[in-house]
Amino acid sequence: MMTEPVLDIKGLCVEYGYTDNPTRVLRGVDLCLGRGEVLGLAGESGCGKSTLAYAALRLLPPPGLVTGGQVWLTSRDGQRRDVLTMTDQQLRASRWVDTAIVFQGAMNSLNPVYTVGRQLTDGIAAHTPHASRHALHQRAGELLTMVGIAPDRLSSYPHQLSGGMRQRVMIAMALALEPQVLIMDEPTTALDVVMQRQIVEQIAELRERLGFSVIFITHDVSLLIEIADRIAIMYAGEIVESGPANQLYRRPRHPYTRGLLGSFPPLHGPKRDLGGIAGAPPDLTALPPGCPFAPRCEFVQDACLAASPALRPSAVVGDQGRQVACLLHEQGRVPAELSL
Amino acid sequence: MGDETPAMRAVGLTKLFRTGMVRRTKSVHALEDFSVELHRCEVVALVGESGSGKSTVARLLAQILPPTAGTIELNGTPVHVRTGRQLRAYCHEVQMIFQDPFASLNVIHTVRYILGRAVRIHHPKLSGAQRTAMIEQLLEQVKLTPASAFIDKFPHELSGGQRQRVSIARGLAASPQVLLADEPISMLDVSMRLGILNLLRELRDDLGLAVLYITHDIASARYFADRTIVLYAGRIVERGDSETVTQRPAHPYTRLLVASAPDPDHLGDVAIGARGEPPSLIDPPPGCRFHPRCPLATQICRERVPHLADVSDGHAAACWAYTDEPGAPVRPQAVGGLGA
Repeated sequence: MMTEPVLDIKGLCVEYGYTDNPTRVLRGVDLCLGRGEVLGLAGESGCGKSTLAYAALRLLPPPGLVTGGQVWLTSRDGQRRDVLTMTDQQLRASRWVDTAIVFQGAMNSLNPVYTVGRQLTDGIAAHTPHASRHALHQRAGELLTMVGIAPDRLSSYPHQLSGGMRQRVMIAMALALEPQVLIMDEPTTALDVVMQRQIVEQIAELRERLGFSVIFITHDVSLLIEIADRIAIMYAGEIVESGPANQLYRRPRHPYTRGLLGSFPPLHGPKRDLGGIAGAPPDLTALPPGCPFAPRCEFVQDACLAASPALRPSAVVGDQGRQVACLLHEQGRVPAELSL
Repeated sequence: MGDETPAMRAVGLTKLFRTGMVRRTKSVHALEDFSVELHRCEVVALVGESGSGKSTVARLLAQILPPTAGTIELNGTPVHVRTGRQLRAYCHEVQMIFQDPFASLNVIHTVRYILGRAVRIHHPKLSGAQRTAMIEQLLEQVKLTPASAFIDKFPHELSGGQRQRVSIARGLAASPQVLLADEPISMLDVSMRLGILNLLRELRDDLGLAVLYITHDIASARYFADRTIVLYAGRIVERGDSETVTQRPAHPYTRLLVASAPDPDHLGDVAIGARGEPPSLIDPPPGCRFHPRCPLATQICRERVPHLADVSDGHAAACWAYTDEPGAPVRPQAVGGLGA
C-alpha cells in the first residue's frame, strides 16, 4: 500500500557534543515518507523528534553532528540523491524547492523589522533570480490568499498579525516554491484549539490540492490521529512503533504507545481514571543498556535490561504494515493488552 | 455545597490595564464582572484561550494585582490587602502554583532550602529538627519518596514533573485552604501530566483544599474538575458542572471549543461554523463579545451585553438565546448542533 518513497531516512545517527563522550541523540533511525503521505512523528520532549527533522535537512546547529546514515531524497525527475552528501551548491538549490520546513514557534521566526511581503518574496527571489518585482509581489499575494489571509496584509509587519495569521504566513512561505516534502515542527503548539483546527484543516486541504508530503511533528497524539496517514512514535532517540494512524490509536502494540495514548483524557465517551506513565524519560547522556523504556515499562522482564530490541514487524496475527521495537514481539509472547 | 460558606468568593471582579502610547488614555479590558465561589474539597476549572483573562483571575485572587472593581472574600470576610503582614496572612490561606516549574524554582538552591524557606515563613516557631520533619512530610505528600533521595537535590537534577511536585509542596508548606494552579501541567511532558492532576485531586480530598485549575485544555478540565467556568475575552460565557459543560455545551463559544478539540473517536465530525479570532480587548465589540464570530447573532447581541442565564439546574450561559428577551436568537438544538 506504500507509494513510492520521496524521503527515505536510513540508519540516521546524531550526536551532540564534540567531547570523547558525546550524547547519542538519534541511534540508527529508519523512516520512510511516501509521496503524498502525511507522516506523524510523536513523542515526549527530548526524544529526538526535532533533531530528526533538522538532521534530515542538514539544518542541525552545532554541537549537533550527523555521525551516520543516509537521507535519500527523490526529486521530481525521479533522481535519488543523498542529502547528507550533497555539495553546498546542490543543497542550496534543493532547499525550499524539494524540502521546506515550518519551524517550532514559527510565530517568532519572522523578522520583526521587515514586512511580511518582503519576507515572503525573499525566498522566491533567491530561487528565481530573473523574476520581476511585480511578479514576485503577485506570487506573494497568491500565497497569502491560499492560506486564507487577504493579500493586502503583504505590507503588514509581523506584530500587526495575530499568532494564527503569523503561523499561516510561515506555512505560505514554506509552500512558496511548491516543495515535495514539508516538515512541520510543532506547528500548532502555541495556538488555541480553534485556530489549531483551522490550520490543520488548511494543511489537509492544501495537500489535497498541491500533492506534497508532510512530516508532522507534535507531542499531541490525538491531533496526529486526525491528520496523519501513518504515525511513528519516538522514545529516547529511537522509533519504537510505526503503523497506520487509525490502527495505532485503536490497537497500540508497544507499551510506551499504550501509555502515551492513555495520557490524554478523552473529551467524549465514558470517564475513566488515567495515570499517564510512571517515571521520567531517560537521561540520554547516560543511557543504560537494554530497552530505554524498560525502567518505566509495566511488562518489563529480565531480558529487557540486557539487549535493546530492534524495530521489527509486529508479532500479532493479522497486523500489516506495523513495526514494533519490543522484546515481547520478538519472543512472540505479546500480552493481551497489546494484542487487541 | 449549598449554604456552607465558600473558602473563597469573588464578586464582580473587573481589571482594566491602562495603556496607550503617550497619555495612557486607553485601557485593556482584561476581565469584566467575574464571579466565582471556591468550596473546600472541590476543583473549579477556568477554561479559556490565551488572552481571555484566565491568568488575570489568578493574579487578582492571589492579591498580586489589585482589582479595578469587585470584592474578594475569604471565608465570608472581605479582604483587601496590598503588602506587609496582611499579605503574609493572606498567603497563609491562598497559595499559587505557577505554570513553569523550570522558572519558578531557584536553580542555586536545594529542595531542602526551597521548602525550608517556605516552612520558616509560615511556621516560624518550629525548631530545626521539626522543620526537617515537616519538609520530609511535604515531600511525601507530593509523592517524592523516599524523601531522603530528593531533599538535597538541586532543581536541575529533577525532571519537569518532579519539579512541579516540589513547587506544589512549597505551596502546601503554608497549609493553605485555597490553591490557585495556573496552567500547572502545560509545560510538562505529556506522560507526566496526569500524574500531577491525580496528585492535586488526592490533595483536594486529603487536605480539603479548594482548587482553582486554570487551563486552556477543556478535556483536562473534564477529567479533573468538578465545576468548569468558560471565559471568553474577559467575560464568563458559561459555567456549570464539568460533565454538563463539556457534554452538553450551551454557549456557541463553548460549542465551538468542544467541537474544535481533537477527538480521534469522532473523525468525521469536523467543526464548521464560527471562525475567526477573539476581539481586541482595548476596544471590545459592544454587546456580546462573541457576536462577530457567532453564527446565531441577532441585533440584540450586537447591542446589549448578555448576562448569565440558567440553562438547567446549576448550568448557566451568557447568551441571549437562553433568555425570553424579544428578538433573542434561536436557541441552538442538541449537542454539536454547531459542530457536527
